[in-house]
Amino acid sequence: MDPMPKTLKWLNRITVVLFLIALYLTLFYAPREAVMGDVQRVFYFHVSAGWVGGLAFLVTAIAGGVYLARRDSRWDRVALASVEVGMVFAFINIVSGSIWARPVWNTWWTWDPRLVTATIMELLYLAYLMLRQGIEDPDRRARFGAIYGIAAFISVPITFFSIRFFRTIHPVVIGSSDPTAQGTFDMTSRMLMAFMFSLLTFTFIYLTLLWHRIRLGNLRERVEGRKLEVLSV
Amino acid sequence: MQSLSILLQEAPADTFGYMLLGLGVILGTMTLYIVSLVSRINNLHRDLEVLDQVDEQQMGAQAAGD
Repeated sequence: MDPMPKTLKWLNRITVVLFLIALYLTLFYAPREAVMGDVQRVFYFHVSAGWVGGLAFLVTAIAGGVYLARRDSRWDRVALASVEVGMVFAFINIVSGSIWARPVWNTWWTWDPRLVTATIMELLYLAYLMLRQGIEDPDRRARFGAIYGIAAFISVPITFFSIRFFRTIHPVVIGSSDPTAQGTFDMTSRMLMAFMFSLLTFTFIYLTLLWHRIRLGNLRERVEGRKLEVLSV
Repeated sequence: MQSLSILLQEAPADTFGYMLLGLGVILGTMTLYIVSLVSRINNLHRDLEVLDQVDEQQMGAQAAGD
């Protein structure tokens, strides 16, 4: 395999440093929330993970569009890599939200519009992976994947706006919240700093993991090609 | 009534354990994914090595046949 590019090595290091700083800001710099206590600190990574999930699925839709226009398999690998990374972060978002909800809402789960739309979004992208598994022909798989990736993206804005359009108990921390929301709070400047830094850090984590996952896809492509060469001798 | 009691509390709720659980799940999931990436990359490298060996054996057998 090609050696790791210098830029990726630097990105690895920068991401680790950013993550350690974000962890420090979350645990020690941001103050303890007056009502919810320490569990509110999960919020910084919970929202950041949700942001990365949405960003990753946007990249999948864009890569799918470019693939359909150019029929270049590299874009299909980008789309697949981004779905995989996005699913990990969407999962983190859902599970960490559930852990936050237990002491604040007094339940692990409730059928709230945000929770439901976020789960449907995750399942839609799980179906994307299953769809790809079921198609043998690489060109057809990439074409179907691209169309599905573009169509499934509609779940991202629906999930984002669900707490703004529907009656919900999920808080909207930035912007006005539904009066029935539970667990809402005003951010101090230190909280805002920790939050913005976490968003930046998770964006770097996404870019780093995406790059590694694309390289894995390229390596897999090379192994498949080599297999065909060896078997055809 | 429950929300009123929250407003009247003197100190923040003791939710340290939930914070640890939340951060543990976040860090654990990310670590598992990184381990899975590394493991898959290593497996593909091994596959490439095996394919190279098979190719060499085939070439050797062909040369011996000629």
